[in-house]
Amino acid sequence: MHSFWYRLNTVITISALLLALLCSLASLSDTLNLPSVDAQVEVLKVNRFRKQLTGNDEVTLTLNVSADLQSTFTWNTKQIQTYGGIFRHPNGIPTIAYRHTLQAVNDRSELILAAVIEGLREIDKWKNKMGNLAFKFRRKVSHEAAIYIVFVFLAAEYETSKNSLNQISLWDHIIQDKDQAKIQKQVPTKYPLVDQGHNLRGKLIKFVLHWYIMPKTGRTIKDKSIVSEFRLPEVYT
Amino acid sequence: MDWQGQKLSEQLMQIMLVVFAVVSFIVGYVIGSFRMMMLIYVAGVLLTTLITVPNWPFFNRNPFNWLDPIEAERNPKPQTAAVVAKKKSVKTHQK
Repeated sequence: MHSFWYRLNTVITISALLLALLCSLASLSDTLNLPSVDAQVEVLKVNRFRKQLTGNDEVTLTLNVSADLQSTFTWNTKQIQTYGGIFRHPNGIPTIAYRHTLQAVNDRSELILAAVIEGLREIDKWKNKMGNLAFKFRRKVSHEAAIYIVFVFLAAEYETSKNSLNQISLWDHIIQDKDQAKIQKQVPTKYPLVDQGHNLRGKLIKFVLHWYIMPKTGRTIKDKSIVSEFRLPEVYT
Repeated sequence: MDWQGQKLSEQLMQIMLVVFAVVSFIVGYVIGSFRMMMLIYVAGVLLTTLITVPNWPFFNRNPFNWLDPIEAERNPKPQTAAVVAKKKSVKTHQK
């Protein structure tokens, strides 16, 4: 501790160590949060049920999705994703055939630009009023860019003789704010339910809601809950 | 910075950083704001740096008590003539 640089080095080292500790604690505090997600999915209408020219069954539905994911948000939550994608498990090995991941909407750069323009306007005003004597920057940032995000996706899961688990994403959504974590809407399926084959007539499918919580520190927390079951019609439309 | 000052600055540094880390975590957790935790912690680190890193006067309140330079007085700096003589003697010794 005898010289300036030695002391500076010590401060930086200890503070970085404590910062890592804080982040670990924040991540650890997430394990105390046991989210209880209340979700319901109802099939309102089978819009289309047909056999594609390639021979695969294709279904599009209109769903009534209601989910309350507010309990998944903690102080350490950056992004929770509810997402959709087709996963197939031939022989139990998962292969992701299609996965839809959306980029977080980040309008931070636009906000900074707006702030700079606002600042320049302020300077101009001051210059006009009292010459070059005084400037004042006033940064007006009306809202913070998105920080909290949860990714949610609704998957249809069913069993065929070939694959023990077929998982197809029908709808997904990114929740950026706790206030928006209550979903209640009628949605046509974003992605059609396409089977690898023609096994869908009269098939019982399970709707499973998956959600990915993106914490600021720590690893992504994945969870799911089986929401409801639906039997597809016996005939094509 | 004297010995006491070094000890003081090190202890101050450690205690302040730990206290700020604990306070920032508690405040952040209670009000549920990660951002607030980081702001408090960064402010704490900056304050600690400002207090403990520069060589402030209060770290120098116990100046070193060096011994009097008696040895130097007892053995005054040798004259140039003496040096020459010494050099000669060294040379002869080497022979």
